[in-house]
Amino acid sequence: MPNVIELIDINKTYGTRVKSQILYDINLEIEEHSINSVIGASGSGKTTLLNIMGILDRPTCGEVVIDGSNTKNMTQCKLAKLRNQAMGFIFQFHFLLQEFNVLDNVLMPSEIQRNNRSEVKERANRLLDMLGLYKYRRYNVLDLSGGQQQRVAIARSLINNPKIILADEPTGNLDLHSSEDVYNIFKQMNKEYGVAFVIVTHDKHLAGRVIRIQDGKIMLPHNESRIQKSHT
Amino acid sequence: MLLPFKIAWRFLLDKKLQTLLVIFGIAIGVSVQIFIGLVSQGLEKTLVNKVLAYSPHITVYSKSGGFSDWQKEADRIRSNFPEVKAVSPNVNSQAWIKLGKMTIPILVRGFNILDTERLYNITAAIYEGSSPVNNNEVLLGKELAERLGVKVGDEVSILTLGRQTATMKIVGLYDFDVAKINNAWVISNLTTAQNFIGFGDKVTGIELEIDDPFQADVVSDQISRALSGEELALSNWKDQNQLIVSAIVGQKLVTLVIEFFIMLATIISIINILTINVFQKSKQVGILKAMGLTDFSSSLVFVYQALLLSLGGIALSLGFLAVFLRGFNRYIVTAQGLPVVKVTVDHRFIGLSILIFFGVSMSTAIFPALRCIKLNPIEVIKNA
Ligand SMILES: Nc1ncnc2c1ncn2[C@@H]1O[C@H](COP(=O)(O)OP(=O)(O)O)[C@@H](O)[C@H]1O
Ligand SMILES: [Mg+2]
Repeated sequence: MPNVIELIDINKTYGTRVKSQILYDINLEIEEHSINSVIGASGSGKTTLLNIMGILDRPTCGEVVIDGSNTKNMTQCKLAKLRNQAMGFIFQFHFLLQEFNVLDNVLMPSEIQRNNRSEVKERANRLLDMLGLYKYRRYNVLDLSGGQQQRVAIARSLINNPKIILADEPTGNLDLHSSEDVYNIFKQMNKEYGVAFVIVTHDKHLAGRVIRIQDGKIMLPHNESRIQKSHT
Repeated sequence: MLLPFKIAWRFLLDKKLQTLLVIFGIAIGVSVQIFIGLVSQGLEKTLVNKVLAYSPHITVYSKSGGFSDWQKEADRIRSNFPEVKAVSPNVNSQAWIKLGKMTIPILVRGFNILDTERLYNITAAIYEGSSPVNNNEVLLGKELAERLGVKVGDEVSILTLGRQTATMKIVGLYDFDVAKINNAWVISNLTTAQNFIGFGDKVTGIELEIDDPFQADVVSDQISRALSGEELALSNWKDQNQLIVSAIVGQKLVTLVIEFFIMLATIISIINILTINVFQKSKQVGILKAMGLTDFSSSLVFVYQALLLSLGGIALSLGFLAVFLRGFNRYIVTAQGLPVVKVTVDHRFIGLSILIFFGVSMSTAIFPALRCIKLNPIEVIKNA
C-alpha cells in the first residue's frame, strides 16, 4: 500500500527564547485507506502532530511528504492548494460558517477549488443524505444540534474526495450516542470512499492502527497491539 | 475572486445592523463633506460674482488719462496670454444727461461691443432695441430710461465735463439687473465716446477678463512686465477688494480643513469596522484557510467588504446630498425667498470628492487585509 502521509525525522520546538520541544524524531507513515487513532495524554503533542501532518504547521526540522510530494519547499499558496485537494479536516468544534446554510458549508472546500460542476452538488447531496441531513440542507447551521453540526463538518471534509481526513478529537464535544454515530460514519466512509483517517481521540473506539504518543515520542508498536486487544 | 466576494457579502449580511450603521455613517460623512464643499464654492461664487459682476479682473490704464497705441497693446495681450479671455478697450467719461428740467449724472462708456461680449454681455442684456453700432447711438439702462421717461428712438442731450452738449439717439435699452449700473452707464460705441470727449483715437483703458479670477494679481504682474508703454499701469480686482479676497480664501481654507477631518473620521470608521470584523470573523477565516483558501483570497474578503461598504455609503450619500441641497435652497433663504447662497450641483467636484474618498477608503482596506493575512489557522483552531 502506498502512503498518503510520510513524516521523516520530525522535530517541533516552540518558542524562540525559551525553547520547549514538543515532538522528538517522529517517523510515521500513514497508508492509503487506513484508519489510524492517535492516543496519548493531554499535552503529549497529539494536536501538534496532527497539524504538522495537515501542513497547517511546519515542523522545526524534518520532512512531510503528502501523497508522494515533499512539502518542504512549497509556498503557502501551494500548501493551501494541497490541503484543499488532498485533505479533509474535522476539529473538536465543528467550525462551520454560521453565515452560510448547511449545503453551502458542505460545498465550501469545492468552492475554494472553484469547482462548481454538477457532480460536486450531487456528491454534496449524496453525502448529506448518507448522514441523514438531506432535509436540513437549507437550514442555517446554528439551527442544528451539536451532533448534526459535526456531521455537516464531516460531509464538508469529504466533499473534495480527499485521500485522508485528519480529525482532532472530533467527538470531544459530543454525547456518547452522537460519538458512536460519528465513528460509525468514519468507518462507513472509509469503506465507501476508501478515504484514510487519522483520528486523535481519548476513547479508543476505532478498529485499526493505534498510534500512541507520550511526551512527544511515538511508543513502540507492541504497546499498540496490547491497547488494541483490550478494546476490541 | 467570486468566493471571497460571496463570503464578504455574507459577512456583511450576517451583521446587518452593524453594516447598515457603517453605510449610514459613510453616507453622512461623504454627503456632508461634499455639501459643505458645494456651499463653500457657492459662497465664493456669490461673493466673487457680486464683486466682479461689473468690474473687470484687470484694467490696463494710462497714467496720463488716455493712450493711443492701444491696438498694439491689445494685440500683444491677446497673442501672449492665452489665459486672458476678453480684451476690451474702452473710453469712459463722466457726463450728465439732460431732458427737460432733469440733469442726471451718468458715465459714458464707449466699447467695441463685440470685444466686450465676454466681459459684459451687453447684447444679452438688451431687452429692447439693438446695439449701438453707428456713431451717436446709445444704450440706456432700464431704471434711467424709466426715470427720464424715454423710449427707443428718442433723442437725449448729454453734457460733457467741458460743458459741451451732444445729442444722442437711443437705440436700445439694457438691464444688467443691478440698479446702480442701470442708472449710471450710457453705452455707446468706441468712436462716439472718443468724439464726445475729444479724445481722437485714444482710449482710457483696456479691461481684461481671465480664466481664473484668483490669478488676477499674478497675471497682472506678468502683463505689466510684457507691456512696453512707459506710462501704462495695471490694477486688478484683488488689490482693490483685499478684504473680500482674504475672506474668501479664509473660508476656503476652513472648509478644506473641515472636509479633511470629516473624511478622516469616515475613513477611520471604515478601518475600525473592518478591523473589528477581522477579529469577529477570525474563526471563519481560520477555518477557511485550513480548508485551503489562500492568504491572498482571504484578505480579498476584507477588501471586498471595504468595497461594498464604500459603494453602499457613496450611493446613499448621493441621496442625502440631494436632500441637503434641496433643503438648503428651499429653507435657507433671504426675506425675498431667494437662497442666501446659490449652491449649484458641480458634477466635477462631486465626482472628484467621491473618487478621492473611494481611493482613500480602498487603500486603507490594506490594514485589515494585512491583519487577515497574518492570521494563522492553528491559532484559531487552538483557541476554540
Ligand atoms: N504555539 C505554542 N507555543 C508554545 N507551546 C505550545 C504551542 N502549542 C502547543 N504548545 C505546547 O505543546 C504541548 C503539546 O500540545 P498539544 O499538541 O496541543 O497536545 P495535545 O493535543 O496532545 O493535548 C503542550 O504542552 C502545549 O502547551
Ligand atoms: Mg489536542
